[in-house]
Amino acid sequence: MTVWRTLRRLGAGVLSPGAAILTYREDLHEQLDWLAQEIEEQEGDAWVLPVTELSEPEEKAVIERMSRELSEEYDALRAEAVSFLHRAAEHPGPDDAYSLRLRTEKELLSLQRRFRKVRGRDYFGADGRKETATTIDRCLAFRQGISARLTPVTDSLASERRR
Amino acid sequence: MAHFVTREHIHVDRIATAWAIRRFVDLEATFEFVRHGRDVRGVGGTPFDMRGAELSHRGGRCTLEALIAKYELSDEALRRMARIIRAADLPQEEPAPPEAAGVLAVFDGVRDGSDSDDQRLERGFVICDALYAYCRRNRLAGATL
Repeated sequence: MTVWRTLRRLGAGVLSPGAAILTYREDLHEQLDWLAQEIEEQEGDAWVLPVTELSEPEEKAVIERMSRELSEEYDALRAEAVSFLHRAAEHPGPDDAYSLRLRTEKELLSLQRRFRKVRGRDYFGADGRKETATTIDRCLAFRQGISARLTPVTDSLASERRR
Repeated sequence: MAHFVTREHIHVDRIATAWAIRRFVDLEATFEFVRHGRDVRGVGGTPFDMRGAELSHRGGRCTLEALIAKYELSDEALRRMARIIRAADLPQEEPAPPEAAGVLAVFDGVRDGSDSDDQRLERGFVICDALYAYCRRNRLAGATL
């Protein structure tokens, strides 16, 4: 289970019960090596095999498979962000109790953190990413000024466009 | 004088481990860099951060932490630094100390802006000295505020 959880955290797509595929990056390759080492230490078999070529249909199928799940995660996050916006009247103002403001801040931090985690393993720009980022950024209007870590999640998209 | 071997194109964990070897284990240790995938049984020295080596990732911990455990290094600031290095090296893991993202960015720059692993080591050691000094001064380093 730990192995599959780790593969999922890395953003791997499952091809069959015993095989997973991941986009090539030196750091990801290294992490697969550590995972393989862990499996071997438990007397299992593990192979890390760089794929040098895929046919176009295979590549398309792999990307679709890897993006589908991420797209669902974006949808779920966006639904939460929309729910947050629907509760606008309930969110505290600057004069409300610190505990109330902290609760809102933590909710926003959670949305931001989970979005960035999904984006971190979204290697192909799955559907729903941009819309979800925009919706979460709209939520940031309700920041309580407690955490310096709350920053718009669209920053990197904007900088990608500038390049 | 001990000789240590690791994979080429060194990055955050390998640099920090080499730094800790020099600083806490053997002041005169030498380092060699070999290609990725090289069998650790065939290297002429102590391998680290290589698949199959004793000094490598274990149970979700990074190689610097494996070094600390193997040599029983009890320096508290070094342990704090290792938590940051682990989070920078394994960015998918949680919880991550807030310093990790910045540390990773700096080491990315060292990796990409250097011509050789010797140069990466030299520049990386300066960063490790600074990070260690920070960890000595900031007992709360690694807190996830």
